[in-house]
Amino acid sequence: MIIKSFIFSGIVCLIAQIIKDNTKLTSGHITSIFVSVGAFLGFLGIYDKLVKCFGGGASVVIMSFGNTLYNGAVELGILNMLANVSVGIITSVLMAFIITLIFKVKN
Amino acid sequence: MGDDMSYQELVDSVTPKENKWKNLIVAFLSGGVVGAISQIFVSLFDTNIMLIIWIVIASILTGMTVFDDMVDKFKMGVIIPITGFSHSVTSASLDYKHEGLVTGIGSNYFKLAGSVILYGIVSATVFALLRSII
Repeated sequence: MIIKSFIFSGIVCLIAQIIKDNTKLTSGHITSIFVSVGAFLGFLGIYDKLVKCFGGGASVVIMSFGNTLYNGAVELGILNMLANVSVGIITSVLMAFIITLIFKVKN
Repeated sequence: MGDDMSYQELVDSVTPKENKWKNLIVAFLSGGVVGAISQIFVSLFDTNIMLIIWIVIASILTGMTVFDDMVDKFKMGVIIPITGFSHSVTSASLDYKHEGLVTGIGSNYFKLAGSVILYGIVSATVFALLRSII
């Protein structure tokens, strides 16, 4: 499972790098595209199978965010879709705030 | 005749060439390592704890200005995993700290991560609606 995870997230990052190197898209564009692709794969019923098969490697890439949003929208309703991604967003928000207060910015 | 070298040639000769193959291998390996460690976290704890661990690590490394060097080195291998999301929030917040708590940090918090949230919600809505129609 660890090797499967390695291969899956490695390939996803490899694809992202190919796009980055060969187009003018920024990292922001690529992550946004990948989130939408994740939601699309969720819609096709593929992404949950990928998570089952590749484990943590499939859960850690940003596509998983789109899939989790899609699953939330289907299971809990569109207006409650954030429920399952709440952990990631809230942790990021709180950590960023704490870090911003603690660390000094070099300029 | 003067200078034979056009400006573009001069720029090209001075700019260090980014080795594309090396970039690809680095992105694959670093992304793979993040994925493998994620699987270890998932089997030890669960998926949410795994995400929390990465977010906390990425945020702290961003505060220590280490993460930007890691992005230079490991490329998309650290951007595409959840570490990139955490980094985008923390770095935007730190970048605008000098402009104040509200107009600086508050206004720019989701400067980069906003598009991930926006297009995630929009596409999930579209596909969820599609599904209910089909």
